[in-house]
Formats: sequence, C-alpha cells, structure tokens
Amino acid sequence: MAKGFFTDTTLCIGCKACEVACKEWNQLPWDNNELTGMSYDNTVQLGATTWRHVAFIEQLGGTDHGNGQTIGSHAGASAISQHIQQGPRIVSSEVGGFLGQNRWLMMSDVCKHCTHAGCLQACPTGAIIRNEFDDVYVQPDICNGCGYCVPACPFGVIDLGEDGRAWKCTLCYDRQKDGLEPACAKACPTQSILFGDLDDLRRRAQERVSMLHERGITGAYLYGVDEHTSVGDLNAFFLLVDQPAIYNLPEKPHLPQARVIPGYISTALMAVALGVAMVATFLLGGRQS
Amino acid sequence: MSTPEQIQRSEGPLPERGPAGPMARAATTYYNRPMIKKPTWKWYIPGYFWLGGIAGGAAVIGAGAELLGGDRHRSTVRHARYLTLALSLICPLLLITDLGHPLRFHHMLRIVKIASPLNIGTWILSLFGLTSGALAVKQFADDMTSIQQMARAVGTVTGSAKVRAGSRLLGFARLLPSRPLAMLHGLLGLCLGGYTGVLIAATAVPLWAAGGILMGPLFLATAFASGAAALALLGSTFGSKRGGAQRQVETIETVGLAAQLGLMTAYELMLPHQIRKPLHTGLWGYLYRFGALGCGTIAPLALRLATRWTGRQINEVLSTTASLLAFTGSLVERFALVEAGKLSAEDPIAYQELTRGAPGEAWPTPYEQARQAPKVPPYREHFVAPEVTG
Repeated sequence: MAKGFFTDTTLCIGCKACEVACKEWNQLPWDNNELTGMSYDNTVQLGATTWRHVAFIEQLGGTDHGNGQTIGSHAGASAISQHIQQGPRIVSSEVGGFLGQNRWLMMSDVCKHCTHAGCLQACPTGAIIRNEFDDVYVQPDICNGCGYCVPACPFGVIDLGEDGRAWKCTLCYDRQKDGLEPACAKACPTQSILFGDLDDLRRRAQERVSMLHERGITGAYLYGVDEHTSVGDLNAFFLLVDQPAIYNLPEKPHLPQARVIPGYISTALMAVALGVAMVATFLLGGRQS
Repeated sequence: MSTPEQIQRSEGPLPERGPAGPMARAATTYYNRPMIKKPTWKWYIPGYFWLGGIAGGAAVIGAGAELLGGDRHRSTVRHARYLTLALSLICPLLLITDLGHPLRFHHMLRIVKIASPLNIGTWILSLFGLTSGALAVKQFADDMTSIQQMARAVGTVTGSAKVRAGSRLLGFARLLPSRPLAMLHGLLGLCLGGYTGVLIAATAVPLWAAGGILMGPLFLATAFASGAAALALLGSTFGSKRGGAQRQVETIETVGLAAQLGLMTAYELMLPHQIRKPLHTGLWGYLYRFGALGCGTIAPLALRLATRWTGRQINEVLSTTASLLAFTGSLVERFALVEAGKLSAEDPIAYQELTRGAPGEAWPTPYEQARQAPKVPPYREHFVAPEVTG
C-alpha cells in the first residue's frame, strides 16, 4: 500500500515541531545556530541532516485575498520599492486587497518521494530503492557516496552528509514498519502534515481544495497530484496558495533521466559520424600519399 | 497508486497557479536561495572527464590506425596502447578518490542500470581497463621481440628460471588476438568518450540539462580532438620523422575540433539567457569563452587552416602548436563546464527557466525572451521593509 504525506500549507503555523521531531527520532545533529536574517526561517534548506524544513515566506504589502494574487512578491514589491524610492506613500491603499494585509506563508518541506525519482534512477549502486511502502529509501550500508543523486534530484532534497554518504527523509521507514506514523506527522499540532494511504490522502486533499475554493481562497491548488510531469505524482504532496517558485519549488519538475536514452542515441550518432570521418581519413589519406 | 479517475476533483477548471497576467512569469525566488543542490564533486571529476576523454579518443584512433592504418601507423598504435593503459590506471583512482566511501567503490558493480549513466560508465571504464591492459601487454611483448632482448631487460639481475617463465608469459601475450581486441577497445573508447556528456545532461543542473542531447556528442567530439591531439603530440615528440601517419592523426584532430566548434555553437544558441549566464560571466565564463572556445577550438582550427599555405618548416611548428592548444583547451573546457554548471545550479532563476514548461515543451528561445523580457530586475529580495509612515 502506497503511503505518503499530504502537507496542507494553509494549516501550517510554522512552529517547526516537525523539524524537531524528525531530528529527535532520526537522531540527526543540529545544523547551525545562526540567524539568517532573511525571515523566521533559520533552517534554510533540506539537507543531509535536515529532513523537514519549514519554509517561511513573508509577503509584505498585502495580498488580494483568495485570488492568489501575491502582492508581496510581485506588484507589492515594486510598489514598496517605489515607495522607498519616491518617498512615503501608504502601501496598503496602493496595492489594496482585503485591508492590504501582509501575509505569512509557511510550508513544511520534505522529500517528495516522487513516483519517478531522479535520485533513485541516478544511483549507480542500487543503494536508493523503493521500499514496500512505495517510498524512496537510501540504504546506508550500500551507498558509497558518489554524489550523483545530489544534482539528479529535481527538488534539491538529497545531500551528502559529513560521513560521505547520501541522506534524506526515509519517511520514517522504521516507524512505518512498526505501524507508526512518521515522527513529523505525529508531532504536527495543526494536522498540516497528514500521513496515510495515498489514495485516501489525495481524496481528502481534493476535498480541502474544494472547501478552500468555496470559502474564497481560489488560488489554492495541489502540488504533486495529477501533475503530468516526468517525475509523476509526488508521494509527499502539498496544498499551496501561491505559485510554486514562492515556496522554492519548480513549476514543472523534470525527471533528469528522461534525457538518458535520447542522449545515448545522439551520442551514438555522433560516434558513427566521427568514426566514419576517421575511417575515411585512414583510407583516403593512404591513397593520397 | 491511484489513477486520476479515482481522485475527486473540484468543479470547474483548475485555478491559475498564482497570479495571472503579464506579471505571472516574473521571476520569484525563495530569498534567492538555490532550488536544487549543486554537485559535490571535487576537481577529480572534471579531471577525470578530461583524462577519460583523452583515453577514449586515443583508444578509438589507435584502434582505427591498427585496423586500417597499415604499417606506417605502427608508432601511433604503440603510443595509443601505452597512453590508454596509463590513463585507464589513473582514471579509476580519480573517481574512487572522489567517493565519500572510497572502499565501497565496487558497489558500483553490484548492478547494471541503463538509466544511470554513472553505472554504465563504471562498467565501460572497467572493461576499457581490461582491453587497454591486454593490448598494452601485447605491445610490450611485441616490443621485446626476442628472448635475448627480454633477457637483457629482465633477466640480468634475476635467475634464469624466472627469465624462462617471463619469456613464456610474453610468448602468451604475443598470441593475444590483436584485431578483435583493438575493435572492442575502440568501441569501448567511443563509449568512454561520450557517456560523460550523457551523465551530466541527466541531472537537474540547468546548464547541463538544457544542453540535452548535445552534451554527449560535445563530450565525444572533445574526447576525439583531445585524444588525437595527445597522439599527435606524442608522435611529434617521440616519432622519428613527420610523415603521412602524423598528418592523418592531425586531420582526425581537426575533424574532432570542427565537430566540437559546431556543437559548442549549437549549445550556446540553444541555451536561454539566464541559464547561459555562467558561461558568459565570471572567471569560468571567461575561461570557457577565451580558453576553451577561443584558444582551445577556434585557434587550433585556424592554425590548421593556415598550414595549407605555409611552408614545410613553419608547418610543423604550427601543427604542434595547434595540437598543444587543443589538448589544453579540452582541459579548460571540462573544468569550465563543470564549474559553470555548479554556478547555474545555485541560481534559482536559471532552474525556474529550465522547469517552466512541461517536459518536451520548448522553453522560449533567446529571441522570444528578448521580446518578453521582464521589466523587473530578476534578483529581488522579498524582504524589503517599508518605512513606517505613521
């Protein structure tokens, strides 16, 4: 039975309990104790020892509620920069929307466990496998740290750890084996992270989207369901209310290995062309001199 | 797994993702943080791309010379065999050193996986090592033509029994079927020269991924040119007299360079502006343009062209200079492409550019981009604190 995550970002309050629970359960060390200064996000990115990362997007200048018109990131930012350049004007009346509020978007990011996973296909040792729960798992006893999975991930999730091996979210393989839900989903206080059978999760997610649409948040959509991209559906999918790039997600992720067979073919054609040129040089050159 | 039919859909068309209209495509990033991870490879990997390419190219040309070149190519074949042996010993060391767990290098050979060019490449390199070893041993046996010569080389110090065993071994080595081996070696050389390009194209790194099907041919053309250049340099250094054989190797080098120039041009034209940026700016961009493209490709081609009208004496100098340029140019090209790729991986806008359309959908060409150039600066921080106006 395929298991996965549904992360509903409209419920996320950015408490980072998932990050902490993940680190505690998987015995991962802390990464840094620095303040980035860019937002309340001091974790910055997923990595070898960070398997949940709460992204924190601060959109200033208000939003046009419900239409997904992000004013902080587009018109709002230009309005603000205008405001800064041309002297004080009241931002909220400029870019309006519903009371011109600022907006905080929070998303607990995680390995997407793609249906067609770039890291899994790239792995030359077979260390990365799809386990019985349909999730992508790195076997630490096989991985030899070649690092090819790192640039092969279309979402920038997997990374090499200090011990030289590749690490990423296991979707709490060990807990799942004992019938427990992953630590992050267990710890999430707002049920922003739901764990379960994918069919069930997708149904619930669609219902949630319909509900949000009815309530006026028409920009809400699911990221990673029915995508028709070469990575396929994501076993960890998201409900987002702004364009994917805002959350540091690619709009249409590509499976890098889609370029392998065409690449082999074009290279073979080139090999034939160069080979023919070489043979011609050896044969014709002989006749001339 | 669920099928689309099983999923309850909301009524009506799917909502637009985010804002619509002219601003919809405006570049937006998450605090300008990279969207993907850049490769963790150290200098060993571009170094391997360079040396492995030379080994592949030299193997192909050596095999061609052996099968078709006839007697006058004897020294070309000899150089190619020893060169590929030396390189096929160095290359695995470079690759293994780069591993996080070097002692687990043999895990690469647990499986055969077509989807992973790295896995296929490991097999190619392993088999290539075997054929280069066999051919080099045969070459050594041929070079030690008589027992007496062999005895002079090996047996003066050691006892006679060991000499007899050694001579028997060399005798066996001389029995190796050189033509089938050379053919296999040449085919493996072609694979070795080309697979690295497919390998880097099969990543999410914008600069390499956007190259798509051109990367394999480009790497193969460079392998050809640099392998031929290495053989030409060996020929002019150790060869007795500049003859037809040397000229043929140089012709092959020119062909490789011409292919490389064509592919580099096509690659440049294919890349959207934002993805192409690391090849045009900064240290690696400078090295790529002036080192790899200018001095490493166009200059040797121009020199080769010039030799058609110059005298015999200058000819030799020009030709050797061209080979030297092509040889070093390939080194610069490998390093510049890898390092520029890392830079493009760190650029979220470049990755957005790559992942705009559905796979197979063409992204805007540079022309279209120029027409629809966004009027907002691409690198804009979200966090712009407004002044408090009271």
